[in-house]
Amino acid sequence: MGRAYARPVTLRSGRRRSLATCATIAVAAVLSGTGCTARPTSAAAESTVTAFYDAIARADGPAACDLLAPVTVEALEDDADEPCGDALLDGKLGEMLTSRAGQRPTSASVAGRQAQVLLPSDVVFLTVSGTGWLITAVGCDERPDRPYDCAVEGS
Amino acid sequence: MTSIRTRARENGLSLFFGTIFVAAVVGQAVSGVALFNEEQRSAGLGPITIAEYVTTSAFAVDVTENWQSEFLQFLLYVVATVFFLQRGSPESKPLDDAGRESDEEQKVAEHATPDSPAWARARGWRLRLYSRSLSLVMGTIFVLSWLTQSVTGSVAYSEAQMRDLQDPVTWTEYLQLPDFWSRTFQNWQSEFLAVAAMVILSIYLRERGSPESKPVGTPHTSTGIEG
Repeated sequence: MGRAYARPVTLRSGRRRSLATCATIAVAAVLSGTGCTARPTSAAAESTVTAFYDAIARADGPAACDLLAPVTVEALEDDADEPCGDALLDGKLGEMLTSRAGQRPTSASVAGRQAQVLLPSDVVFLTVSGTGWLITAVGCDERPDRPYDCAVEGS
Repeated sequence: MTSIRTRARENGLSLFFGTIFVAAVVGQAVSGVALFNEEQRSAGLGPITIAEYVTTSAFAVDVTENWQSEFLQFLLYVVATVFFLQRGSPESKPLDDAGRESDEEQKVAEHATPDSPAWARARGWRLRLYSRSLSLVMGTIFVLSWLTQSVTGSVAYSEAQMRDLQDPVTWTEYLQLPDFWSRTFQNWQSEFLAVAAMVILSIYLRERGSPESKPVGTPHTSTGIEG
């Protein structure tokens, strides 16, 4: 701020240009959000959901539980008062999940460490775990202007 | 050959602000990852490292929402001070000096000196471009950082939405949401207030030795004089 006239200086313009280019690339790489860490893809999210419902369809509760996030397993076992593998297949929850088991994902959205997979009559939410996805909520029904109402969800 | 000490002395202003900028970004990353992990734990999810955090859209939007407003502030300040005056402020040109000024005053073309920048010496598109290069660069950085804020903001917003079991949004949907405009306006208001405060306070207050202040003994009514 204020008025000032720069004193003339000799510029090493070539070196400055290459430094500026490197700095620009570095900043762009960081700000692009991709970084150096490989993130699981939307296709991988869809595969996780498919694998979950395939496990439900063949009544393999433990295999389906392996695809749930730890917080979701914990919440499910607390609510059902039985192991996760049994809780997914028993009672009304088991009936509901089994009825949705034949569906295939229609689309997936990924943002940062979260994903949402849409099926014809279900919505599933996932979170990054290592290099893959784990399901945080499944059996979700839409509620206007409110979070989804999910049959299985974490905290 | 100029000594390192002399170079440091002659570039102290940029070195000082460059250093505290880096320190502030580090501080933002440290506090930001702590806040992000608080939200992760509240949702029953695992924490991430600071190395992972600085590559997230959550970090990028927090950085760029501030950058865009700073460069908008400088863009508006650089251009507004060409045409607008403020009696008594050292931030203003003298009251009879509004506008782009004469070629002689600006030392361009035939009025340039041997030491003038190359693009100031001859008439043509280079002179026209160079004559507005400060606002053009400030404006470009503003547009790019605001665009980056919008893109990374839509991703960060969608990530938070899905963590809370709600639908994500597209970029165009995000541009219409309160989150984008709230982030934008909360930054703009503080920047504009800062400039207004500087313009007005410098009429009546002094800082001995600073070029941003009038000399201590200068009357309040003196305009466009720096210390």
